[in-house]
Amino acid sequence: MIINKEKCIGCGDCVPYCVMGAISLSGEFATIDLHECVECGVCIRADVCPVDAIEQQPLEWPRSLRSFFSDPTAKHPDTGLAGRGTAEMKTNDVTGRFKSGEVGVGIELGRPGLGTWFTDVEKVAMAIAPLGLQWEPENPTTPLIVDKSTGKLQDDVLNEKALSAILEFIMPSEKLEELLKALDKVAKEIDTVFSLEIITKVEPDGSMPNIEKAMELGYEPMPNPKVNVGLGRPKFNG
Amino acid sequence: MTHSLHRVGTLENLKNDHTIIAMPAKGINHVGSVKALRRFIELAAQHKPSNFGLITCGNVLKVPPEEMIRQVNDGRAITVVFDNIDNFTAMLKQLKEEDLGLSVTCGGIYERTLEACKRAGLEPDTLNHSLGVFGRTDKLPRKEILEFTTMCGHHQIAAGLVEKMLADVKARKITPEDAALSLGKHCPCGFFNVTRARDLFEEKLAAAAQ
Repeated sequence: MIINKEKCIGCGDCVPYCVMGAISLSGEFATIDLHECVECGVCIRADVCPVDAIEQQPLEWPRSLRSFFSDPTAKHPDTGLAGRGTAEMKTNDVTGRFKSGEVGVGIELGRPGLGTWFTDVEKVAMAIAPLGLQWEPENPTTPLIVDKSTGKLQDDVLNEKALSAILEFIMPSEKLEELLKALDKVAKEIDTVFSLEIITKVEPDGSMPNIEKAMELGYEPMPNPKVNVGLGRPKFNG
Repeated sequence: MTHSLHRVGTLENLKNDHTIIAMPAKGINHVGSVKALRRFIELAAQHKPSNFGLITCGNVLKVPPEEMIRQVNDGRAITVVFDNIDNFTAMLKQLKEEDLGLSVTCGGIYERTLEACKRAGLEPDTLNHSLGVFGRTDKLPRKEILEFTTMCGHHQIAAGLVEKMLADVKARKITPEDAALSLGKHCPCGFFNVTRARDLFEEKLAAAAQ
């Protein structure tokens, strides 16, 4: 996103709307730090500029990646979907994607609100890939991982930044402890944050082994999980 | 998408924060799902949510439900947030009765979600838990700001804007209600709980007045 200096009147109204804090007043004009801007489009959609000085410049690869990952109204070219992630467990009653004995994991780098460079996405991916993960093919981050066994990302995206990017995969539940140890280590090596989620198919007796294991390892889940209540049809019964 | 997970707050101020997302499954039942999605939008509008929306269209603070019904198409997700358990439960009951075939995922304090499910005759199928935030947590905004910003799961509400609204509320330049509505407009999917935001602003205003 750029500011048209021919139009800008330097009122500063746009400054607080930037989720990356990339807009500032410099002299008589507002400016956008393109290094930090993630092309989320919040400033332009906010319709706050009284003279329409905020403009979307043409986005070419790899900078266009910023928009696909940061603007929820932009469609990703690989998935055809808007947004950063997938349906994950939200349709599990129909798809049966997550089964007993498995754990679904989402590691959302940059969230909440810091943003992430893809160098940090790669660091985390490389720290966990050796565990043998079943990467989610529909997730827009997955196609960027050129070597699924090492977690290496394609080089041309590494200097790009997004509001967030999700590493999403399934693995056997018995590997959860190893995963959490690897994440604990790599969390100290990145310059951003990640929000961590784990998905559990509820067992017939009502138990939730993955979350019970995480708690046993000292993790305190937030009190407000998401619950798929099984209303989808046709119901998966594999 | 993890956008209704990771909502920051206390047990008390998350008590009346109940999200629902409804969607078909791509490749299984998404073809022809538009009819069910339109009905879901009608039901959402009837059950007095705090906010709801369709990401490609906007939320109800900016776009009327009729326009969402006109614009929705096969395979979309509809997102709703309720500010009380009774309306949330009534919505779940009606969804069970109408059996639209859409997958329905609820968020909120687990015990309250379970209570609503029980009253609606539903049982958990699959759960998604947040284990929290890791890494450079020292760089995050303070918790009272995150309580607002994390209600927009696509993080389209800037911490700086919340700070400005908070300052304006405390200076009595804007009411808590108007500040909440103003923030809510920028959450395109409609998961931003306007009532909870208003209550949070009122709480901060009362604290500042003391």
